[in-house]
Amino acid sequence: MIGRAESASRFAVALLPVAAATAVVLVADRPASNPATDGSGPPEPVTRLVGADASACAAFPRADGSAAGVVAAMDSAGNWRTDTLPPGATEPALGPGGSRTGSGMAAPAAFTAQRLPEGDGGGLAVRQCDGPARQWWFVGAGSSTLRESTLVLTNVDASDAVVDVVLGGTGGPLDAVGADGVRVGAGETVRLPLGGLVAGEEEVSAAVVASQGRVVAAVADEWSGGLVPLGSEWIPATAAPATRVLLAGVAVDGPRSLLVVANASQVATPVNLSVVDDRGTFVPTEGDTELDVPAGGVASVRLPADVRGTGPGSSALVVEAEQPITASVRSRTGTATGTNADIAYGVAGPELAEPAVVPVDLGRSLAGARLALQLAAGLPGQAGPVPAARRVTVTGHAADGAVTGTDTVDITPGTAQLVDVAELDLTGAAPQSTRYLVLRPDVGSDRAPAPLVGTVVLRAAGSVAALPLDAGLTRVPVPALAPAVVPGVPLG
Amino acid sequence: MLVSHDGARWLPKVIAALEALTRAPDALVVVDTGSTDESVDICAAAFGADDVLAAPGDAPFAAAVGLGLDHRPPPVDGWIWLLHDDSAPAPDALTALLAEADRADVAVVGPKAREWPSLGRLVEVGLTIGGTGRRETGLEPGEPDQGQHDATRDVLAVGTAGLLVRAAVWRELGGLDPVLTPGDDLDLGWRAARAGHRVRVVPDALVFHAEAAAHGLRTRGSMRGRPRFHRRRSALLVLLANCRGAAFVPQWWRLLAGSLLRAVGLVLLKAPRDAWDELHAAASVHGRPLRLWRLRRARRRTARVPPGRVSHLLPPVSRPYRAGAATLADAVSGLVGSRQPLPSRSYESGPVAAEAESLPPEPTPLEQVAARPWAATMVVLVGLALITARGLLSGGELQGGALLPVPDGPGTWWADYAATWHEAGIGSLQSAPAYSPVLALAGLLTLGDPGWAVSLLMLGSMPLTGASAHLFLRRLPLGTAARVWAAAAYATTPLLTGALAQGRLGTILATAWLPLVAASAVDLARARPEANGGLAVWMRRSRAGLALAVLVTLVPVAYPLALVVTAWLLVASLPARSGPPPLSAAMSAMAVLATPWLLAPWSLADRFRDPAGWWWEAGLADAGVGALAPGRLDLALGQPGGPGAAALGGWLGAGIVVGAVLALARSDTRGPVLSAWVVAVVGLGFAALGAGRTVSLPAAPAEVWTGWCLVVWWAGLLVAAAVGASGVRQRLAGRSFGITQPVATLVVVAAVVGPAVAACVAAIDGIDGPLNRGVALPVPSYMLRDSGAAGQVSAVLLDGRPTDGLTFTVVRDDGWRLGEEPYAPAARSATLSGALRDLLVAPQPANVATLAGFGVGYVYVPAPVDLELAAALDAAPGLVRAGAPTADRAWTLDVPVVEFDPSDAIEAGSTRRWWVGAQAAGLVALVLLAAPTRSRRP
Repeated sequence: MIGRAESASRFAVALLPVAAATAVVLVADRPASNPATDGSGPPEPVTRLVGADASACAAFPRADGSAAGVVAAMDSAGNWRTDTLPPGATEPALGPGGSRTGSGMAAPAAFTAQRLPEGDGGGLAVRQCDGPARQWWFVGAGSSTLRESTLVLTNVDASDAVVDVVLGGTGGPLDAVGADGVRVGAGETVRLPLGGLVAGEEEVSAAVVASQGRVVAAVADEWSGGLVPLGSEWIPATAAPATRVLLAGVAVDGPRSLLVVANASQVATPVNLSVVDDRGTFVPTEGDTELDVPAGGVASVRLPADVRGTGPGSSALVVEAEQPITASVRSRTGTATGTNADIAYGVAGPELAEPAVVPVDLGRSLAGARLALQLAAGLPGQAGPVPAARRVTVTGHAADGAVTGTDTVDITPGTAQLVDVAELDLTGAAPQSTRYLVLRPDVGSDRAPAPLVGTVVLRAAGSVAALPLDAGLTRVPVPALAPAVVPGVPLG
Repeated sequence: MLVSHDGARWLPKVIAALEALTRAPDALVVVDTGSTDESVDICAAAFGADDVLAAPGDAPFAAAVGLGLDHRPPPVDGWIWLLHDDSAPAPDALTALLAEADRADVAVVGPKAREWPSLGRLVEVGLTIGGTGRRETGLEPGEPDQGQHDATRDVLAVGTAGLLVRAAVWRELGGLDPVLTPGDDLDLGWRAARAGHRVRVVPDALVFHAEAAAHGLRTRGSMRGRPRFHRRRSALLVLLANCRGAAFVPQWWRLLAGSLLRAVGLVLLKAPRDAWDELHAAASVHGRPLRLWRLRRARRRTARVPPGRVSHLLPPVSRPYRAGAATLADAVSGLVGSRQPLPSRSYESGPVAAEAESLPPEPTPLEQVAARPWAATMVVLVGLALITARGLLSGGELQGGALLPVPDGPGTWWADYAATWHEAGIGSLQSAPAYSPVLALAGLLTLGDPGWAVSLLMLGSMPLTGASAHLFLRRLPLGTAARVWAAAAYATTPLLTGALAQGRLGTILATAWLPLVAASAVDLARARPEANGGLAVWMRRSRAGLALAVLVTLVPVAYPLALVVTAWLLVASLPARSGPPPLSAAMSAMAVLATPWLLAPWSLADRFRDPAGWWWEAGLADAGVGALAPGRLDLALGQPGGPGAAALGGWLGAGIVVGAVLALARSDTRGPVLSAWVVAVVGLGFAALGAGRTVSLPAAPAEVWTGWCLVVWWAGLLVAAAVGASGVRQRLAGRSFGITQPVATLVVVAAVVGPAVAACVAAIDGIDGPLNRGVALPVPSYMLRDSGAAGQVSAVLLDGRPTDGLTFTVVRDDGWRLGEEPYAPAARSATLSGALRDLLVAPQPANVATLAGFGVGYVYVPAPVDLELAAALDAAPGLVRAGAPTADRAWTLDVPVVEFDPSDAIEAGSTRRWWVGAQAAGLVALVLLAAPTRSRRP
């Protein structure tokens, strides 16, 4: 007979596996900690500062041999160089840009400046050389007896680009033959006079969309009343359409400036105008502050008298609409007979979030030019806490990049300020040797800092030109890219 | 004519029979070919010394006969009667033969030969030769003579023992041909038939033949030492010398191939000497065409009738295949057959005898099913498998989850295994996975179509798993009901764990293979080294080792599991008295555990270096099914998580757990039950170790799939429950009624009904999980076929939205296929993903050049295409829109594609071929060792 103790011990042995299994199972409670495979929401967005890897400086089209321009450029090391730009030529910019995440130095920048002969409208045309992009918006072009705009498309890549040009006029979208599928070969420049696409349209908005590749687009605008030159200018590209835009670059007072608003949507929209000056934002009591813009078209209005150009009380504009819109302001100087006649464009420009370059030295012909910086800070659209003032640090640099002086400018949100470059208190040695300035906006501690825009207005011997401040760097979100978990199996 | 060689044993009886003949021969000559016993004296005493001739010891039968005929030439119209020294004619044999021989056209007559010792069994009633060279007597071995072959008929030939031939015909044909010994009788008959004579067998004439030469009771002088060689050689010569002209060439090749196949088969049966004889015979015949030509020329001279007149004497062509089919049918019925005999039918013909009334009537279908429970269960399992896979039977390639579609043919797997550089994706230096040879062999078994093989193995996994489980359970002392239940419950695990729905190829194959490993392990544990010599034990060791090796290639975690289980078995068996001695057991353990290193050395080495790889079984590591996250109860109930899990979260299997626990209560079966429980707990332990954990495999972080470990857990429980349940009915019936009977009944019902219900529900639900049939190539094939000078290009497949995250794959040739999983990640993919990201954000020509450097020629975005993504790719310099099916987008790279030159990378690994060759040689040796031995003929 098996004794009790022995049978009990045998029973215990028999139960051992069960006990072991239970222990194992109890120990096994480990939570699934695998964010990569539990599909909980999109990953953290990562952004990258992206600049242009190449840019194109085009000479003003149809300029004759006497209108050589100047190309002034700052390379990535900070050296400033000026060169001649032969008429009709297109120069690739000096030095690669690429994508940079660094702070401190600005992206390489290049500018062209040209005094145009009377036969081409006369006046001063200044432009920052842009890098290629897929989409461009231009507002305020046109083709009529008084003026002619030319669309200049340059392809800096090694492969062809195909471009569609979408035009909108005062009556809505414009049907243009030859505006679709324009092929720009590698390294080529194509000039499209708007008169060949839409003749007789006074005010036109042009959206240049590349369906393949990318192009550098620019619009050259000439005004001549018969034989009287009324000015020329490059129309800067505006920022992408939005429901609320901030324009700086009104060069002359009120009624001599024309605001052109383009509606990029399919729905007509009313548009409201507000004025921003050094006291704040207000709606002027006199003059038109409201206008309706047809779907896909443009509308224009003279600015109210309260709007000031460069000078005391220099203003910027806030244009608001229900649909995405974009706008530009055309300022006209001089007399109708052509004396000192020139035009300048201020546009709803890119936000100044990264260091931007302001050219001081644009060649001998512009040696005496006076530069004025118009800076404006906007308010956030919704009623919320007012963001802190934006501080912009202005640094002067010599031709080799050495700092010649520093100053700061504070701008309260909802105000605009005019800064005369000559009157900047650039503390430091030898301000005379300043060749270019670098404007650095502060990063700000706010999560939503006030948007800052700026324009440089140049006046030289009766001619005027306006140049939006463009850092040349944009912050783009970088999509998360991972190897597929299940390679090759058709998805969906 | 009596030819004698060492026949002293039988000669007295032969002489007595000769003297008892009713019609005695007119003359008798004895030719003795070098006998060393007293047969010469016996013959001389009986017949007189001048009628006993001596021939050289190695003279063949034909030469001896020739010698005798020279000594006493027969008359022209006479007859020659040949006898062996071990063939005793019946008294009326010669009379009967002569009666038949009197007919005009009969030239050769032969008797019916019965076996000497028993005198009742038939040996020979006429002879013919089959297409493979086999000597056909048309009789079953050991067939008793009950008069079933008593018709006098035409045959191709008769044996030389008792053969009666016309002297004229003998002279005409030139007698027996000594070259063809021992098939000279067939040759004589065939030649006679071709010459227009008839060869008849007369069953009325009886000769009792001891067949001493065939049975090895004496060594024929001329065939000293190598009877097999001589027999085979003569058979080949007879066939080739006598077949008709048109059939000669095909027959020549067929016989050559047949000889090679037979040699291979004999090598596999571990009879190398026989194989060598086969090959030597084949070489001797096929290698001397001049001799064949001479033989044929000689026969053409004596032939007078067209070959068609002879062909009815040869056996039908299908004879060897019918024999093979009969063997196969026997094997199948043996596997499926029942232990209990079926109730027999009653034959009613005429008046019913009293006994017939008491015979049981014909069995009902239910009784037939009850008599063959396993066959019925297999039918049910096949039906369940078909119902489960009803949507997956046709319409593309089987893929999804962890399963990639199969390549075109198994050749790809072999080529990949031997190669150092693999062209999949952007190329890889990773070594080929160890399971590709296993899959390639499976592909060969389905006649070179790997798609069929994988479909069969995946979709037919339930019946296959059940069959292998049944094979294992037959080795255990179980009752029929318990065995059938355990095998059926195990067969449902691929379905109920969700492995089938998730395309977990490794788990499914390993689940079907596990019982075979267990069976070989049980065999090894029961092997006694002294029984058959060392060879038997090594055979079992190699079998167990091979089985474990195949399992390890499929599910690498089986190796550490096997290490633990083997260690426990060794330790636990130390105190036992019975069983193999500890040294032998330790050697067995080491041999078994070393064999996987032969089959998968690189795979195992990688995993020891990077332990996360243990969890990566055959197929993809991540099936793309999201989080598995099995909880505690899930583990206990054998549910590894993911889609396709059993109904009610596995609760239907609770009966098995309870049954296994209760099985521990029985004291008489405690040993096997404890062993099963230990294996189960080890499996559960490994599952718990990996559950919920994410391992960072080179491909991507993947959550561990614990399916196979839980299958081991479940298998152990099933075995424990089955062993505990066998014979439980009698035990409980013997006890008084208490709590045990209802509890036991409840547990049994739960254990039987639970898995059945779960399996039926799962089968009816079908598979809607990742496993599907569809198009295997995600990009248009025109992109991946040749693209000019650069050769093959690949396409980068981008999917997703920039805001949510994008995924990319590189597709080359025919896309990602089964067996290419280790090549998916490559060390340079960081460069590739960086170039792609730059292309989307800040494109520069350098990015496109980088892509081209990887051999990428296209960028492909399948529908639905995110417009931002399409716009970004449109804007990229160097990408040009290419044609794509309607909703998809494709871009081609503007720069010329550069084929990556892997030569510098390959240099490092050029020794792989040698290693693979050595591995193959080692495997062949191991397979030969493991093959069953041939039973020696007595």
